Amino acid sequence: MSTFVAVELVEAARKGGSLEIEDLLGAVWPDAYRLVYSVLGSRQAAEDAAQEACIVVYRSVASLRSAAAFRVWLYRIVIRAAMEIRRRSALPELRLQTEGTEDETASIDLWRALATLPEHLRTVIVLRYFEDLSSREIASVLRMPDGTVRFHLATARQRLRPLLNENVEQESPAEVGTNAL
Amino acid sequence: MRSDFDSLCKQARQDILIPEIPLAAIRQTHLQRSTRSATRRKSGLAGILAGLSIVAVAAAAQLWNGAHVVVPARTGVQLSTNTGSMVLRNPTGRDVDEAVRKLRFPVTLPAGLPAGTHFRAIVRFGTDALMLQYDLPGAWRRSNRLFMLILANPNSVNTVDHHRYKVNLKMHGW
Repeated sequence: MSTFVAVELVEAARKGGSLEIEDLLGAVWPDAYRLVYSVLGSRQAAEDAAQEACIVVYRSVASLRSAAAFRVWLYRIVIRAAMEIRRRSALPELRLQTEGTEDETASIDLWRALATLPEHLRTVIVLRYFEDLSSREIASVLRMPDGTVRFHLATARQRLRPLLNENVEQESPAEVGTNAL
Repeated sequence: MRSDFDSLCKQARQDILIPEIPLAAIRQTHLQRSTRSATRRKSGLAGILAGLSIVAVAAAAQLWNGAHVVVPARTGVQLSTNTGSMVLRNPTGRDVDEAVRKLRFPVTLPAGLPAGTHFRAIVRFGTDALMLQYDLPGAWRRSNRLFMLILANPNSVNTVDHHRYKVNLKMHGW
């Protein structure tokens, strides 16, 4: 993610007190909210899950071994909180509320196309294209093999292509990996 | 260069409206959970220790017929017979000295344990073996809180030349 929080902020939160931690939470809140919203498509669920993730960060950031690992660690917490919220509130697979997005056909088409994907494929697409994570980072966040992530990415892209007027790019074989369709 | 899809995703992400962070609610929930988990940890630990002591005393009573059990007001549970003794829960230095005196081999107690380490339990098996259980301090509490050693008479437990063996123990981070 290009606007991701500075390492110094994470370092200060790790070593500092509640003021530093709350500064960090303020910085990660938009990313956490966007990630959950993109995966679950519900404002209420996004707010609940992002809040839950922030509580976990508040409690555990001091025990984080390295500030460099913060990004993957945070995303893992956020995804876990999102899945937990979805399980508890029995949300339907995706309930997108597009009124908050830019009122452009392309954007609405994108959300609609994403809504057609099963959750595990949508999650890897969101982490890859919305959050700019590499397939290795996604594998680390979702605790699954790199090859499985690349396979999910290839499958998701293949499903999205006809829905988005073939806008979805075909990545290089190195990126897609040997599991590509 | 970014593809259309890539740009579309970035734009869609940017267009998501972000509500204000509910910092007060986060802070309050964090405090509530911290208090609750500290209480739960304390009562859980007390329960485990009490359970362990009862099980150990019961086991010892079965092993040693005619065991004499003393539950003093301040120190740990003590159990002794003509063949062994056991002090559970915070034995004192005197308890350790007494157990060592009854052994019939030269005993060297471990040295160099982290500062703040104290005995959790000692069990003497006859005159040839002594079990020492330590409660380690600080970070060790998280995963390796209890550390156990058994010192045994080499003449009783080793049929080969025990003088050939020298044991050094190195634990990570110690």
